[in-house]
Amino acid sequence: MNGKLFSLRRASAVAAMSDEALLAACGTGDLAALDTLFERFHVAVYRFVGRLPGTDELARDDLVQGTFLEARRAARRFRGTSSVKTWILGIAANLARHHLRSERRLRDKHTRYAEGLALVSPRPDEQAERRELLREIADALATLTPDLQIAFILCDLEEIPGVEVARAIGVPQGTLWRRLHVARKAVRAAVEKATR
Amino acid sequence: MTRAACPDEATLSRAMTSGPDDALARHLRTCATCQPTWAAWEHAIALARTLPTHVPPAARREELRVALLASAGAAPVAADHRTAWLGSAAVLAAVAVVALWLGHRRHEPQLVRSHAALSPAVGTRYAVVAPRPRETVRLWEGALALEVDPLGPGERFVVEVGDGEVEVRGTKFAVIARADRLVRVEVTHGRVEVRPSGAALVILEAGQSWTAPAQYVRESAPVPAAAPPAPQVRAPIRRVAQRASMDVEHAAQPRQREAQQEAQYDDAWDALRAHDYEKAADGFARVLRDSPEAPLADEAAFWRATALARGDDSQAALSAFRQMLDAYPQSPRRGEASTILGWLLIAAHAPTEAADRFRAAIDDPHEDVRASAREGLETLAPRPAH
Repeated sequence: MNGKLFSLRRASAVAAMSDEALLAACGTGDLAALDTLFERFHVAVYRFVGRLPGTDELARDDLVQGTFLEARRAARRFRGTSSVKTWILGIAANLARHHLRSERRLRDKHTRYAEGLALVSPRPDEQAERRELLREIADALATLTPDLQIAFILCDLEEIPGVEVARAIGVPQGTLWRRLHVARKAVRAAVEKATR
Repeated sequence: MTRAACPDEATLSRAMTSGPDDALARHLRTCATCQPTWAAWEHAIALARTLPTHVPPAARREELRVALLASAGAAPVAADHRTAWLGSAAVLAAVAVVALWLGHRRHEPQLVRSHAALSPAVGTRYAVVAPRPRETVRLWEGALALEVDPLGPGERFVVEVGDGEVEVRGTKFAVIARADRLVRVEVTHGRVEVRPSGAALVILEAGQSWTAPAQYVRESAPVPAAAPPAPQVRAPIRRVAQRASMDVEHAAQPRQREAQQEAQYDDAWDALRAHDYEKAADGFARVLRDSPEAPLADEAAFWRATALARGDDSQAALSAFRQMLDAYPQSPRRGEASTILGWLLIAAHAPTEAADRFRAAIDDPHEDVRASAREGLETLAPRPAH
């Protein structure tokens, strides 16, 4: 197949386009533009959804695909108040929030199972200690509501300015600061618990 | 000079994102209360940044790209509804007039009709990547039965695999791929051209089949990997594939028995994904009981054992993994099952058998299975005395 699906015309031309121009082209149904947009940002989207507790491989694939389809559909509503990357991550965050809320009822026994197995092979070295610490943090993140998780991941882990995040996920800045503060306190408490 | 009062934690937290102003920066340098708080937050965030991000390998991302473009290509961009409603009354009136003029004409969605009825086996990963006139199905993994209507002038129907393609002109046939390599083609009716990459074209008539050379198949046999040390599900991205083909209408003609088996399997899978491990284990057991010789049987046995393990029924899981390995010694899942069994045996304080199970997986084709097996053996290795 040699990687060609459709006649992706102007492939080299779209590769040189700015993010904003690419998004605008996507909104007209340009598949080459969508392809390039995916190429530029899909790893960032995967990284974001991959950090969300409670998503499995299948859900992450669905969320990434859904994000780009929605970005294409909503491209004409992009107003340039944030970067294209943040705007796309905002779409991913909104999709993820719906997904996580529906998944939240189903507690992940598998995590506990994995912990049980990990405990049978303790290695009293720094690596094991670090793994334990990271597990505490992951557990703390998992107990947060999806809104808090999203705020923490976008602002603190992906290091996107809070003002942009607030716009992208459609909440007032004050709400974002509050969510971020609650999430940080939980993560910090987890670190302190593990290192006590 | 009096020192500035300490800000509350919320203010500190906000400053951490937006950056402290000069006054706060000065305060932080000297305050024995705020400085440790600030440092603790920075430390916690820095650690959280090292959590795994689960970005899949490039090949899987490429599959998603293909599915995305196929899906987008089949569905034109819809008009922006918000913009549409901002139109003037005159425009709306004009639309109404046109609508009246159209009279009885009924609006129908622009669906691209397919020539084929597709019946994928459970776990098959595929996408309809191009519509007519050169309708193309991309198959990465699994078995796909197709019934293709006679094509019109200039129309083609192709099934593409990483290393070859199969082209038909009105027929009923099945294609099997493993790890993106063409493994087998079977023709029930009509005529099919098989074009394996780097090999001569083969034309198959009704009742004939083509199989890739044995060595080639062995080399390409796929084994979904275990993520050590716990059994992790590598789920098929079937749902992605289904979404990709959502806008292409297919006449569903599943054979009843296979459909029933698939439905049972799917139910069990849904239960597993919903963390209802008891129901999942029962469902996979039902598939095994009803169709012990079916191509899905080893998969069902593997997932039954996994469901039991996840449901914390360790004894039943141990037994189920052993049964699976005894019953299906050639299963592509054998390395993964051996590794998971090894870890369960460690937990059950059975190190000798655990070591045997890890050793059985040490040459597995998949790196992560091998890594899990190595880690298991390292865990079991005696530690040097101090």
